[in-house]
Amino acid sequence: MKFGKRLKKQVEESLPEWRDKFLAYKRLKRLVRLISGGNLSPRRATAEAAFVRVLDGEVDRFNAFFLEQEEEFVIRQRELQEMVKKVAAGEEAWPSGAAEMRRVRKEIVDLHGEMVLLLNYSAINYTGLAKILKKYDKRTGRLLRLPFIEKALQQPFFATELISRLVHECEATMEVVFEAEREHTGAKTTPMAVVASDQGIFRNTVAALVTMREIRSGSSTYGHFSLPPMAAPVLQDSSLCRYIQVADAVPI
Amino acid sequence: MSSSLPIMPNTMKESFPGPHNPQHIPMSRQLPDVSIPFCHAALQTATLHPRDGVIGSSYSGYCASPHDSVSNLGRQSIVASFISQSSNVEVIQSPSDNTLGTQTEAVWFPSSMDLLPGYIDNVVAPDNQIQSNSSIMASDENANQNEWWAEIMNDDWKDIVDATATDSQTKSASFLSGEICPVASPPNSNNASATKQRMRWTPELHECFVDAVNQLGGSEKATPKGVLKLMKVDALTIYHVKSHLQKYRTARYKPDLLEGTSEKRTTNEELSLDLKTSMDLTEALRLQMEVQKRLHEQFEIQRKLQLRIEEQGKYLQMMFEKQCKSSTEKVQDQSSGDAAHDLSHSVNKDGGAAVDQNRTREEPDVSKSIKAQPWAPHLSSAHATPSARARVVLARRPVPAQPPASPVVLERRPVSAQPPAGIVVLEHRPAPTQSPASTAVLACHRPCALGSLARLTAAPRAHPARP
Repeated sequence: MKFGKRLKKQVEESLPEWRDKFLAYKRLKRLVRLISGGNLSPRRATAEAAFVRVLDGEVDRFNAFFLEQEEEFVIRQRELQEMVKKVAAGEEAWPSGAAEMRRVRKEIVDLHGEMVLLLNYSAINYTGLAKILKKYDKRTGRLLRLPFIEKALQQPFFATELISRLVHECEATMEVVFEAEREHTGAKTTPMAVVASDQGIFRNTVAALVTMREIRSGSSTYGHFSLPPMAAPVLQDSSLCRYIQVADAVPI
Repeated sequence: MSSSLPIMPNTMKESFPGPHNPQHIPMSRQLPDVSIPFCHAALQTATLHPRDGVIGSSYSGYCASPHDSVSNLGRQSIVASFISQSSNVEVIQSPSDNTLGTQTEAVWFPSSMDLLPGYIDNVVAPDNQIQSNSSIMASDENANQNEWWAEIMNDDWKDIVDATATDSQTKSASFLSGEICPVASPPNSNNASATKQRMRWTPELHECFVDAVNQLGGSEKATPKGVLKLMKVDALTIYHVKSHLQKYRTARYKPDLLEGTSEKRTTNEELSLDLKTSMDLTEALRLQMEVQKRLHEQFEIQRKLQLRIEEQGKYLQMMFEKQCKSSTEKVQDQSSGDAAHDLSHSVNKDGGAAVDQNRTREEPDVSKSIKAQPWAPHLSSAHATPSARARVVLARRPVPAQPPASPVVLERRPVSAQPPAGIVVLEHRPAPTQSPASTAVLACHRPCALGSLARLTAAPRAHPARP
């Protein structure tokens, strides 16, 4: 149930359009309960059939959403790079050029954030799948987990290398932009609309980090397929609080 | 391979017009590794993901090799067969004779709404057809089926069935089929249901797209057809291009809008803005970036771990199966030929769904497994996750049913020699891999009935060969 709660929290913190795209963990848990509860064979059979069906449907959903988002990110990334090239050339007069730069920076950071959140989406759903399969195997004595998880690993939604690559490219682009920006120190900016969207992504990111740490902090049922806890120095509470405070400090 | 699927052909017979032999079940069918030519030969990274059109799964013969003409029933039976492979056969065993074919299917596919009334009719209708001693179709139960069904529909089921009924028809097998090669594009799925397939737009493919669009005069002027022609990518359909073009236009249009307004705003407001505010903003952006970067790192690490863990699991499974195979070869000398045949076939299946064939005559959910406790002392029984446990029957002889709680002794009666080496320990995380040469006992468990954890005592020593 812990995971269920965490998943729910994640979903709440996530971007609005994403909220219904996550794993239907609760529904699957109910199915598992039905399966193990009912001793009547036909009922059990139908429940199991439904379970696999729902699982398949979920994976399809993940794939669809993931691919669609990926496509958008590919497009946006390229557009951003074009923009950066333009702005870095720095042909425009100072006020508008700086504004452009600021906008571009914000766009890059946002895109980066969204891509990382997509990775989070993939990871959380995969974890959810693994967990529910483990429950299923445990309750029914079947061996659904291994083959299913194996297939899940090959699914597009788990093949996140492309997104990772995009993220790295984004970070590289960011370097370029920040370089150019340093030449324009003292540029003014318009805070309002900019910050609002930042908050959404930023909040989501922070929540994702926290959730990830919680999920991996320790398990009562450690198995051979459990992940180790996250490395401690990565996520220190103090630094996180600092991030959140700074974000809150900026007026919306 | 037919012996490994004794029940399957019977259930499939009703849904497939073809012969009920494993012709439908390609045990090791390789999907062609099609490298799709994109624009230039160098671009081979785009992928197709068939969402419909069930393609034969090369995954250890779970699925029959369907074609697009396969009915929904057929598709769902694939799902059913998937379950049957990996589960106790208690349900499948019952309709062992074909008179129950239709009823069986009705049981299996209750989510299909049009089947439901059919099922109820079947059930309420003459039950004198039912001859087998199956638990499902026992005549005394028929009277209860109606109420049971209604009862089921009333609670959790309603939303589940409703939700899955619509998408089950087309998607039930798409996962099973679409998973195989993310890179390859299965040829027979190209023609049928092209609208449902998803294209994986890589940066390279997108670059090609943009080039084509620019050639045609920009995103507003370009038409999907023109772009498609220019790109000369085989696997691409006009639907892909259309939707992609739309996204592209949206992505370009919005920034133009913003550009206009923000510029105006800056010229008016910038003089009144604080320098500090802007610096704070930059700082905030930087921090946001930092957090995101960290998260990204963590994901990469986590993913690598997950892949490695699963790989290990697979490796162990493979080792285990190899070992059992070598054991069964000895069995062949003693027991009947088909027994070992059964075993070796069943053992070779992925996910170890092996047992079930042999247990058709036995009660379901019997844990007559041969298990070995990992020799690493710090591992308790709680650590033996279902995935780490494999249940294997090494002999055709009925092993006495084990009460769930009692420990099961490592039984290798019929098996002559357990190879002393070549077994890997299912080690907990800290020491991910042990060299196979170590005298570790292969921990192979399968979940006991209803998830009880039967602990085993198996001495980490090689068993002497027994005649």
